[in-house]
Amino acid sequence: MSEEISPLNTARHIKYFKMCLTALPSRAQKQDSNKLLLIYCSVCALSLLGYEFTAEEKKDISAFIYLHYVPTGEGFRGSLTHKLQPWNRYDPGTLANTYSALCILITLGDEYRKKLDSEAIMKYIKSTQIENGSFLSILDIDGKPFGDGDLRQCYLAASIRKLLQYPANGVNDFDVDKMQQYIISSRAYDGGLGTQESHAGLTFCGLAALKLTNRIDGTNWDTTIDWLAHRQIFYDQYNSDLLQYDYCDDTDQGGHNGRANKYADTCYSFWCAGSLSLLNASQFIDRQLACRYLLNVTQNQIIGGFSKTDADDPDPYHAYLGLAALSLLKFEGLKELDTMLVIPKDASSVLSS
Amino acid sequence: MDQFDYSDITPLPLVEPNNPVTTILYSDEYKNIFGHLAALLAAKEYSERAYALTNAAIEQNAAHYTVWQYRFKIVVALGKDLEKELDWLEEIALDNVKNYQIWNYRQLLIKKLELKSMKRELPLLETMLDEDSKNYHVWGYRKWVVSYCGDYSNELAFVNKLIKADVYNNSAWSHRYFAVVNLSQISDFDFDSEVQYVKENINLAPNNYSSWNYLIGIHEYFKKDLTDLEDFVNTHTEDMLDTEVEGVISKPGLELLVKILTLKGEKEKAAKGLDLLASKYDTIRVNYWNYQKSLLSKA
Ligand SMILES: [Zn+2]
Repeated sequence: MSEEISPLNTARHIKYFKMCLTALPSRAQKQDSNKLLLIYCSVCALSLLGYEFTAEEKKDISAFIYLHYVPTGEGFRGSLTHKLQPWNRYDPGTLANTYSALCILITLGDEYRKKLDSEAIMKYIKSTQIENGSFLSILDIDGKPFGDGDLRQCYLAASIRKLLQYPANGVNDFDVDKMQQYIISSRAYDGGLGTQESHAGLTFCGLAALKLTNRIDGTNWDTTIDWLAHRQIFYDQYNSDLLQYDYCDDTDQGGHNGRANKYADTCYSFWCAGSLSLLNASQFIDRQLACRYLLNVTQNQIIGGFSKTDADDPDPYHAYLGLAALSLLKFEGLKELDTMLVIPKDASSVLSS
Repeated sequence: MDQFDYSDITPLPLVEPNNPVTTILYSDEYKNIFGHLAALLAAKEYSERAYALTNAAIEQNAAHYTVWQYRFKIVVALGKDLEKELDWLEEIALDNVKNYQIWNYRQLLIKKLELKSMKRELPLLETMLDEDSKNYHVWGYRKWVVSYCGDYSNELAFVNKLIKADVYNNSAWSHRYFAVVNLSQISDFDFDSEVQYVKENINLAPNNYSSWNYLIGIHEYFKKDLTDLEDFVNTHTEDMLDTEVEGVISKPGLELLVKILTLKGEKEKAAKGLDLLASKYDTIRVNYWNYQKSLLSKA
């Protein structure tokens, strides 16, 4: 595997993400409800690439984000198409969009903590926590937790708490002990975390939620590290039998999958590199091969961005996570990443640990 | 939206600022549906026409939580037939295989129905997993509904079939673990025949981490000794520590051999196995195997 690694096409990527911040085609309607997540990916990607936002851009983007802040101050909705007049709880803040909004604002250097009602947001988050310690996505019309609850929502809740610098003794803090128990109990027999089968994305969410709340130490993560180390895909003469299998593709060499016996996917390069980094075990990734997969296989040389696999079009989510992975892999030309919050590190330097 | 009269409703207009960010070029249909929906939501109208509108909205964008809870509220308020609602949801599920909310909504309906047997759910789950045998949401829902009904009786036959069709299907192995752990708590469980089953499947695909991990997993869960597997592992790793092999080996088998040797205190042999993994059989993880070796000398 001495194949040469393609350069990072910084100019193309900047163009791609600037385009994402301008307009998306109507098929993006399916993602309308998480539009702030798309903006978060684009803003943080541009920043990682070293792009300097103009004062005008910062003003426009942050003003746009604040339009998504719900009137009770509890969080952010995903899209203006969901806004209600007069307002009621059918127009709720969601954990995913609130997280995205805070990440965007901190990356733009906005003083959001002076403008937002931290107590209201945290009270809302606390109310979405359910019996088993995890969180649901929103509060419903009756003020009860609603939606799917798993490690993703734990991650979002813990990130929001961190981004708001909410104190552990605050009256509206959620039950961190219970969240910790939930996360630890979601470790599967092979070492990964998941709601059932071990899943690298959910593993990252669980580990990062623990790290964000200073709860990662005190648990032995050896089996998790073992499982994560095995996510990097490698075919050679000693396991070439696997290449007969539908889900094994030799272009995946060096990439990561999210579950055993699955294809490589750009986002898992990040979820795995991020998880290992949270466990101080980054050295167990073959950096060279991991970079090769991203830059030679999923980097789009024509319009910029990264796609999920070699067979897809780029999308903002995979494009950002591709860059985030490269940053963790210490690839030159990218800013350093705050692994826990998945934003550029210089942006989160204003937060205390 | 043609079946009902919405003419008395003024759709809420989408007000975007002068300098919007990430403008989605919404179709007129989308704007029309979500404009009307917002008006009905603001008025908290629970009606047949609102019910019809939620269907249209979900077809456009199935990821908006509000539409789902609104639909559920309407179903309850109007006393809709829950069985018919489940049928409707099946069609939506088949069109949106990656969606989370559908399965959450299905849970709400099942709880409302107080479903006691999971028989009703089997055909849908079968079809969905036929289409994508590793669909995480569908497996998650299967696990939920099995637990909810407390009915584990279909699970082993089902995963047998899936593993037979695709021995590498890690979702099926993972579900097997869930089924076996629960079955063993309600009835006698024959550990030895389970181990035999796994061994046969490993023999079909020696580089399959899914089956090897499962084998180790059930040994740990049932507190059995991993060293019991030494003879079996040797059938896959025979002489590898002494004679180097070219061509296909069993990487997970070699890894388990190292574990067993470590447990038996045969450090030198274990170190040899780790050296081989690092330098020859699994070079991408050279740092990991070297690290394991460093732990060996400390132990
Ligand atoms: Zn992905």
